[in-house]
Amino acid sequence: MRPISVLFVDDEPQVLEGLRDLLRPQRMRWEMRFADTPEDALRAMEHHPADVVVSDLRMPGLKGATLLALIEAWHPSSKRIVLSGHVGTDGSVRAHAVLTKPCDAGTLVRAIEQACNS
Amino acid sequence: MTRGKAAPALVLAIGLLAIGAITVVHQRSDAARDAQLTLAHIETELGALQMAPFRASAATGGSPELAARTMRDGKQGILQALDALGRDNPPAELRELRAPLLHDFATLDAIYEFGASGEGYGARADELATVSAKDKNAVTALLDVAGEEYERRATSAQRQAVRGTVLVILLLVAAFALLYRRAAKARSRVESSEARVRTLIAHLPAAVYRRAPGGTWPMEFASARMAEIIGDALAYGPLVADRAALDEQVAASGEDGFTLEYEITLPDGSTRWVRDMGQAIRDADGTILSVDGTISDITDVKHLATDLRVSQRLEAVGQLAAGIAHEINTPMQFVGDGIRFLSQSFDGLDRLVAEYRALCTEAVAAPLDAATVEARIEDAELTADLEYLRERVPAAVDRTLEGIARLAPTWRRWLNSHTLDAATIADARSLGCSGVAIAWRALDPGGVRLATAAGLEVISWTVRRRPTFERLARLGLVAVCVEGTLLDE
Repeated sequence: MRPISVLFVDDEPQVLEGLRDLLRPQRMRWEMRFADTPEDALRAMEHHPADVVVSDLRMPGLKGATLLALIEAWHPSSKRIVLSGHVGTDGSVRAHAVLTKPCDAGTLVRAIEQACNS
Repeated sequence: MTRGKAAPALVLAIGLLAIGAITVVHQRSDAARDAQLTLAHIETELGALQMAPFRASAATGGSPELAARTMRDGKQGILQALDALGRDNPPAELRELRAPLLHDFATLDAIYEFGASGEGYGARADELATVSAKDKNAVTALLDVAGEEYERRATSAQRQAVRGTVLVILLLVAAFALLYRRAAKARSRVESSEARVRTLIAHLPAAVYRRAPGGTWPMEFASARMAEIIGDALAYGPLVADRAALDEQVAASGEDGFTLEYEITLPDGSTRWVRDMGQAIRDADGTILSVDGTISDITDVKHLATDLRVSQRLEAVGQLAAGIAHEINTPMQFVGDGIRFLSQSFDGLDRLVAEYRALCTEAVAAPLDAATVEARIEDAELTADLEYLRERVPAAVDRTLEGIARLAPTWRRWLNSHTLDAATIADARSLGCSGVAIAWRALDPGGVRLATAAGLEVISWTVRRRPTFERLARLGLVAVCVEGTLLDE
C-alpha cells in the first residue's frame, strides 16, 4: 500500500520540528515533508504533489489562505487542512478540516486520515 | 431699465402722447367752431352796417355823427375779424369776399353822404342801396361757404379726436392687458416658485423654522417636518433642557451662523438628538429680528457613532484576541509536541531498558552467544528508534524550553494586567456595553460585585475557550479591561 504523502507548512520551524517528532510513529505509513514558507510548499507540490497539505494561516509573505486556494486550483486532488493558532477563520478559507493549535497527535492523525478517505 | 419697469413707462408715454394729440385735435375743432361764430358775427355786423347810413339823417331819427361812428365801428369790427381769421389758414372764400365787402363799404359811404348832406336820400340812394344789398348778398354767400368749410374742419377734427380717443383707449386697454398678463405670469412664477420651495422644504430631511426673539423665542414658522422631529413645534422651548444656554449661543453667533447639537426630551419621555443650524437675522443696529434655521434629527447618527466606536473597539479586541491566540497557541503547539515526543521517547526507552534487563537475566541464567545478543539489542534499539531519539531528544527539550520561555511573559502580562476596577466599569458603561470580559485568572470577587451592581455581565475569558469568544461576539461585548494594557503593547 502506497504511503500517504503529507506536506506540513508553517513559518515556525519549532512547530515543524515538533510535528516531525510527534508524528515519527507514522513514518511507516506516511511520507512526511515539511516547508517553512508557502513558496517552498508550492515548489514541493510542483515536484511531487502531496495527498494532504497541513498549513498554518498566519505566515509572512504568501498567506496560508492564499496558499490553500492555489493548491485547490492547481492540485485539486490534494486535501487541505488548516492548523492555525487563530481561533476560527473568517469563512474565506476553503479547507477539508480546520484545527486549532495546540492540537494533539491523535486529533491531527484522525483529521489527516479522514481527509484522505473523504 | 429692466423689462418689468419698461412696460409701465411705455404705457405712460403712450397715454401722454395720445392726450397731447387729442388736445391738439380738440383745439383745432374749437378754433373751427370759433371761426364759425366769428363768421356769424361778421354777418350780423354786416347786416347792421347796411342800415347804419340811413341813420345819418335827422329825418330818420339819427345823426351824421352817430351813423359815422356806427359805420366806423362796424367796418373795423368786420375787418379785424377777417384779419384774425386770415392768420390761421383761412378758406379761400374769405380772401374772395374782401372785394365785394369793400365795394359794399364804399356804397354805404355814398349812401351816408346823402344822409349827412341833408338833401335826403332820394332815388339815387335807393339805387345805391340795391347795389349794397347785392354786395352784401355776395359777401354773405361767401361767408356761408367759408362757414361750411369751417364746419367741415370742425367735424373732421372732432372725428379725429374721437378716433384718437378710441385708439388711445384701445392702446391703453392693450397695454394694461399686457401688464396684467405680465403681472399674472410673474404671480404664476412666484406661486410656482413658492410651490417648489414648499415641496423642497417638505422633502428636506431637516425642518425649517423661523423663531422670533424675546420671551421664549417662539417659532413663527415651522415646516411640517418639525412635527415629525419634535412633535408640536410650539412646545419646542420646554423640550430642550437648557434652552437659555442655547439661546445665548444663538445670540452670540455672527454672520457665519451657528451649528448646535443638543438632546431634546419628548413628552413621552423619549429623547432625540437634533442638529440646529441657522443664523440670527439682525437689523442695522445689530438687534436680532428673527432666527432662521433648520433642525434635523441626528439621533441615528449619534447612535451610529456610538455603535461605530463600540464596533471599532470590538474589532480591536478581536484583532487583539487573534494576536494573543497566535502568540500563545503556536508555542503551546510545539511545547505540547515536545512533551508528547519526550513521553513517547520515554516509553520506547523504557521498552529498550526492559529488553536490556531481559538479556541480562537470560545471560545470567545461561550463556548467550554474542550474535544473538547483538541481534536482539539491535532489534530493540530499532524498535525504540534509539538513533533518532539520541539525535532528536536534546533538540526537543530545547524547543520545549524555548516555547515555555516564550509563553511565560505573555502569561505574566495577562495575570498582572487584568483587573476589573471602578474605572474600567465606568468606561464600559460609557461605551454602552452590557458586559465586560476578564481573564479568568484575574477574576476578583470585589470587581465582579462592582460590575454586577453596575448592571454589567461579567464573562471570564480564557484564550482556549472558544465558546467564550463566541459568546462575546454574540452579546456584542467589549473586553475593555484588556485593551487598556495590551493595546499599548
